[in-house]
Amino acid sequence: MRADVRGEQLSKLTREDRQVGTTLPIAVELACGLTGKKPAQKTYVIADDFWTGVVDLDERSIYGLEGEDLEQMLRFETESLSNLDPNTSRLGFVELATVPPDTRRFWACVVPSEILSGVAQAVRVRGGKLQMLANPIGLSSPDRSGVPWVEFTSELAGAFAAPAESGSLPRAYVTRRSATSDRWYEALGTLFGGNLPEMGWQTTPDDRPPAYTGSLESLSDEPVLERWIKGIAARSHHASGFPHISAPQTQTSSKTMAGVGGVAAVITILVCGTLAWTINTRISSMRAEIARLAEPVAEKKRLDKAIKDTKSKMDELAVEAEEAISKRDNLRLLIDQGDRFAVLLRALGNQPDSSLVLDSITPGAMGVTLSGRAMRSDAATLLTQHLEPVVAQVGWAVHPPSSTGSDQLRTGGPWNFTIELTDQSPEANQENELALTSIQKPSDAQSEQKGDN
Amino acid sequence: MALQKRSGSAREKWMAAFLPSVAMILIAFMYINFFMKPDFETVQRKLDAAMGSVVPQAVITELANDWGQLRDDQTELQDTIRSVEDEVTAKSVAYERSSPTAKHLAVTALFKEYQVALLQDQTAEEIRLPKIRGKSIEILRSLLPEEAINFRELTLTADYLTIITLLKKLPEISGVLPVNITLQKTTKVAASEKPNGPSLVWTITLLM
Repeated sequence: MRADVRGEQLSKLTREDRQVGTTLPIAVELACGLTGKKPAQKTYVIADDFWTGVVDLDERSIYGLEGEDLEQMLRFETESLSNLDPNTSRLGFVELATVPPDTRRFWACVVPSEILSGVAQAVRVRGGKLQMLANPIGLSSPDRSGVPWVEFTSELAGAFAAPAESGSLPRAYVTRRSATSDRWYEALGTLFGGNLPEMGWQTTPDDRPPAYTGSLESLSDEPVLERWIKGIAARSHHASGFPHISAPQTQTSSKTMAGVGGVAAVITILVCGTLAWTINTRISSMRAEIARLAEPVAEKKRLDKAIKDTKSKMDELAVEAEEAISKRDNLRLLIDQGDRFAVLLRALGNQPDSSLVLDSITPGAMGVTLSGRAMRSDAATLLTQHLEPVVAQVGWAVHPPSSTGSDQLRTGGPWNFTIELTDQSPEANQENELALTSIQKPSDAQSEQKGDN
Repeated sequence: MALQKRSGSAREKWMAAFLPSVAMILIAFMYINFFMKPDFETVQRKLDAAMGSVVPQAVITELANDWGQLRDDQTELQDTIRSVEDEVTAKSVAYERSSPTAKHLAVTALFKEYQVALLQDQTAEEIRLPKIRGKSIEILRSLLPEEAINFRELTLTADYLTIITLLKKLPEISGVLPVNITLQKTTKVAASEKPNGPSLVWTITLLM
């Protein structure tokens, strides 16, 4: 029978008759295979194929023993009852309430190690994992409220009572039934510690002892069976108060360990490598980003330096250009105005006042001084007005004349005059540059109009 | 008594199986923590600094344009200087092209052509020039060998029109330049002049 339980609810119950002579491991494997689903990772195997019973020990004989030592002691104590070799069997036990005055009572179950391994293997083969192995007797109380109960199977009989209060021990007694005598029934009542409980289970109606007068529910009834399974499931979640044998710890082979270690090492390499690669990639990408961001900065520095150098060079060139242009302008002043004296004399010759006489032309520190005489007082001024636009084009500035009357005439004249022509700087001559070109090549007709002073 | 170093328990075997993984994790931890992490933090700081001093492309473009403009200006300035220097060279080279005697010969030939009475023809060691013209002549001197620049004072008598023509013709002789002129009226009469009028005596200073 396979019962699939979710929480404390029975989700599916599948049954099939067990063939006679089928060993427990095979029966377990067949039960696991009753449905298409894999067994749970917490699979409880409940079977009555192995011995269970109560063992009384003198307290002094086990004084101070506990844990492994106590279990070992119990294995040897149950050897005569179960006929199992203590060295090749596994034992589960639970301590019951002490029997006065000095007897400690234990409820134990024993199973051969190979059967336990076989059952675990059978469950594993079907994809599940064995959690524990237990005998069904005493696992499920009728109402699960702590009320004592009895159980009768074809081979066993038991009476059970949950602890009355927290911290105390349960009471129970299990005995093997005899087909020939009712002494087991009397012993059950006596060794349980009084009257048998008034309610309980029986596997089939045939299992009811004739002397028992209480109320028994038969597991052959479907609702009763389901309630009984729910009770087992509920109690198995907290496996205490009944003897059970935990699944054997499977020894992992060295090869498996090496394989797992190798896989772990590979995974570690992959994880660490991935982590290192990720960090390294990030560093590389940051370096690339830095390099990308540094390019415009370097380009800006280069351009700043180039602009600075070019500006410096420009300043030098500007000075050089200024010197060269100054030099050129001075040469232009000298060479391009080579005929300036001809221009001056021609302008003097072309002056309209015939009464004006030029006596001398004298070079000076600033230019040329013209001296002469005139019959009219305004003749010198008129001469300067006549000269000014002409000689300005060849680099002279005309200053107002200085006149002195000799008082020989009624008008005060004749007048002696001087006119200063001063050289102009090259800059002042720039404006006259275009006009100069035309002056350098005067027409022949103009030359013919020159007058004689 | 032998010391038992290995118990052979499952725990020990599992520990041995996972020992390489643990060692790798330890090595990886140390490598990451003591090598990569400082490197990462350093690079992160550099990146933050780089992000803080990022230069927009527009700035680069503007700077490149400025630089291009400056180079154009520089080229233009260099061209200007070159053309100015070419002009200066062209103007000055005429004064050393002909020898002083050849220039003097051309001047006397011109005077002869116009039948000018040359009263005096001599080299002038020191001449009095206006300041601005003097500076120009100093510049010309600096561009030429010392012996290429000479001054000559010519004293002559001629009528006004002839003087104008001469003063126009003289600069046309290569390397000859009138730099000063003096007019004085004198009672001395040259053979060619009329006896009843004052004579015009001209002193022309030539740079040649």
